Amino acid sequence: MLYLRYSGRCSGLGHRFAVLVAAVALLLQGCESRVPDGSTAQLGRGVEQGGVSTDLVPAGPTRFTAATGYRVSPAPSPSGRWLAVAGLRGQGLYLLPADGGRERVVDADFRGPWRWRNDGARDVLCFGSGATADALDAETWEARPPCAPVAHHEEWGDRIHKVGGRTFYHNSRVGTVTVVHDQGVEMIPLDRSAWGAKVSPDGRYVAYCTGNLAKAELILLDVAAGRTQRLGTGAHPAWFPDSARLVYTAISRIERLGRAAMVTAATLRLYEVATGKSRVLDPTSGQTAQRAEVQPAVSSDGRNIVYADWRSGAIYRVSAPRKVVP
Amino acid sequence: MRAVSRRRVSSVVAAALLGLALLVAAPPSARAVHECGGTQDTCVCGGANFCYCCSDTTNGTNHGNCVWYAWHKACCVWGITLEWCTDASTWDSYATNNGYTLLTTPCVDTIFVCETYTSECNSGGYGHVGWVNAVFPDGSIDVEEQGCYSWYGIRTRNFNAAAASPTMYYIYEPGVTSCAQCDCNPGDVETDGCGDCGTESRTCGGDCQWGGWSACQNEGVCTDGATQGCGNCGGTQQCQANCQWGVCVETCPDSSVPLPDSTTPLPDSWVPPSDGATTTSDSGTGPLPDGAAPQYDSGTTPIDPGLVTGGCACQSGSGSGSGSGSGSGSGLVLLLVLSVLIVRRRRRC
Repeated sequence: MLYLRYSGRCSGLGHRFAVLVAAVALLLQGCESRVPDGSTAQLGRGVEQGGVSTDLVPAGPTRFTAATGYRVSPAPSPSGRWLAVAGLRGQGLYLLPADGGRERVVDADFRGPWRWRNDGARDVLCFGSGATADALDAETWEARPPCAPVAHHEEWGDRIHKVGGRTFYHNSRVGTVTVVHDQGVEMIPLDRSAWGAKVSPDGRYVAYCTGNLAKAELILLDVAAGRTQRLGTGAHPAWFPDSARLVYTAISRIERLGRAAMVTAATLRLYEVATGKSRVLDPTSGQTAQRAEVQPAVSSDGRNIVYADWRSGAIYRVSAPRKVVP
Repeated sequence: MRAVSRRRVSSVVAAALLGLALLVAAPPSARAVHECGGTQDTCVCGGANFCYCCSDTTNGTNHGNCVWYAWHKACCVWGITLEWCTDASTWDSYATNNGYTLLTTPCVDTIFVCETYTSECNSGGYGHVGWVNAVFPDGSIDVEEQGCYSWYGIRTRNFNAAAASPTMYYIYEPGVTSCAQCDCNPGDVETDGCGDCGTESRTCGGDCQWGGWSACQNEGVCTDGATQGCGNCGGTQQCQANCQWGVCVETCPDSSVPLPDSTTPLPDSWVPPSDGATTTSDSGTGPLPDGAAPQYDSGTTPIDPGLVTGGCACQSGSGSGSGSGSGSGSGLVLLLVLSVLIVRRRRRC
């Protein structure tokens, strides 16, 4: 007598119905992502359009770069029409139109400092070190009068900001911020390992980091009061134009791979100066395939934030929320 | 007299020169500085740290010095005694002269060198050296360093890409000549099969090198091709290509009677009847032979037949076990039903 039976069989209509329900449930589960507050975020399928593509990401962030080449250090131009990015390990300089379109290679072999210069209504990219830096008109792709190097003072360090008759310098060797104004010079000692100092547009605050990036701590200095406040783990601060908020990265996991280090998990956070509160910029970021959100930059109108994902080498753009606490 | 004094002067000068020469030529251990900036020279690399440690009235004799600490790290990490300990600004040329690889590409576990008055690393008139802890995809680097009078002890910080390259030099560990051989694109994730139908993955680091494989995940329950005993009548089942067990093929007596479904298997020590038909079932479902008694290896405890509710259990001796129990239960139910019917009839009457 031969009996043939199969494990996990479902006999009867009830079982078949249960299987059907389970299949439908699985299908639905794959179409949405649950966020911590219990709501759901719709995912979009990847599409290619010009040089801009959107990958399987939440509705918020949009992938800004095509999947060719590893890009880091995004910097919006003063007008917001362009985005300058660097290549892997800071080698190479590229331009992306903010409204999409093909990436333009400024110099694939370039290594060194670069920054934007606002020539009236024109966006000019300055790149290079030494006495002068090359200048390129992003719109016309023509050379412009060379850029002066970043001002440097032996004692005060590099000039990092200028607003309302006050000029800010940062000396990373001794860890000081120096404010030069009409009434004189004011030198403010920071932590001995301070780096990456960013002055708020109104000059009231300086956000800076201490320690290695792997364990960086973000600190906020009230310039007038000379008082500092530790904001916790964080790096790469970027101010909004209104000086009321800043966005930064909180690195949660870093791995040493071969002869380099890889940030494998990092989340952008938004900090509001008035309330002293911060929150994750994109609540859905933890639900996606582990991005390393770093190097945020705020557009000149404060509406958008661009950042690099060090896991994928892609640049993302996300709309900036109006308030930290909605 | 003059000759004598000349001779004395010559002797004194000669002695002084000899002393100086001895001082210079003395082995490093003779001038070892075992502590600087709060760090102890505890690593073993064939020699003691002979670098100068800056001192002042405030912090005492071990305030710190970038060259002392860079030498110390080379000793601890590379396991070698650097041949020099000159001003920081000269370390690039000394490294080249001593056969070390010197590049402008930063790399983990290298010594960074800033020449004098390099604005990118705010080096002073003596230059600056330190140790590279990490290199990130954007080209920024994590470093640790000591300073001469600028601060006390070790500090850690991050240089951005523009500062890290190409204005700074990096002394590589002997034998290492490059840091940028790309095996992959940073951020890429490679997945591969492992173990029993499992998967493992690795991530490409910012140095274009693959990281280590992750632990094998989502493995199946068996190895493809393996077999094991199953069911209640000495059946066997084979592991399929998906690393899951296939159907159970069992051998049962012709007179066996199917039992209800169950997932409770019999122990491997159970010996099935030899004269049965072949039965295939899912571990534990199948016929139960009438009158057949379970057989066990000597020394094993028989399974309660009541638990063997499925498969080819090869048991159900008359008058005992679950079979008789079930029969008794059915009889009781039948008796109860009949009683109810009788009571109803009586009521109708």
